[in-house]
Amino acid sequence: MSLTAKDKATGKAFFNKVSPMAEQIGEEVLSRTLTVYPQTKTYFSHWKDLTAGSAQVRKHGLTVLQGVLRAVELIDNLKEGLLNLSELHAFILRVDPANFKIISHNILVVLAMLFPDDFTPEVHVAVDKFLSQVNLVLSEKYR
Amino acid sequence: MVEWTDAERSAITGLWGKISVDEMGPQALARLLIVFPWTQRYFASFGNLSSPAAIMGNPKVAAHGKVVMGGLDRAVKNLDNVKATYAQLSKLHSEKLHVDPDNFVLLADCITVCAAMKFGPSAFTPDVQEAWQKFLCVVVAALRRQYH
Repeated sequence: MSLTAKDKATGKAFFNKVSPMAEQIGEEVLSRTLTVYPQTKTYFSHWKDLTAGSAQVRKHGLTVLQGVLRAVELIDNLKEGLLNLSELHAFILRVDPANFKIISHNILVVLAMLFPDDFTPEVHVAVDKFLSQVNLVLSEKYR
Repeated sequence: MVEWTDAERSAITGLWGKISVDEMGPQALARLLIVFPWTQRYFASFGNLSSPAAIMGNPKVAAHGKVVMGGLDRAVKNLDNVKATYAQLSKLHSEKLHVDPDNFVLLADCITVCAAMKFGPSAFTPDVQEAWQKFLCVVVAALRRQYH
């Protein structure tokens, strides 16, 4: 299910439009990940405050979202472009890759929620395909 | 037996009360067929599904979307017994319709996206999303149950 030229164009245009709201998007994505899928909290046992909207959640949500935006810029060469991120997740963070799907799902939900007029089915499929590719590349170095 | 908190019950019935089956049903089914095109395999008799525009304008898709979405009403009204409520429906999907049950979660996700779009961040809070997704999980499990 690789990205067609149309997918890439659609994805890039949409993310360009939404990137000014990166902070809010990131906060909502991470808050929902922690609330709707409580098992994900196990990766943040060292945080003081895991409640939706806390300072740590806001900061880390933005970090994650900025990673996604970076991947959009590298959309023509995700494998090489995200190599460092893959190594980080594989060797240092060691997040179970099943969680990538969870974050992707919440990214889709939040984008739909904040941009209901723009998140058409065509945009939805392009973004879903893009996030699936990102997840695949992030898992690359795991074993 | 599924345990629902009062907050979860209230979130689910609250959302359902504001959802128009006639509006969201067609949206969710069209989205399923566009975002996950292999699901079109079950709708060969629906005519033109050749493009997103064709799917979104297809009257059979719209009509069937209402049927499917309307089916959730019985689950909302029988939260403490969704499994029994859907036993016949599960058999139907397995024995007559031959739907791969992995597709149920794809439709559930499309419904969630449509709900997020309709309700926005102030109504579709993380806690509401949690309750809604738990509800859809229970529905999906009930629909899978009679497969053998």
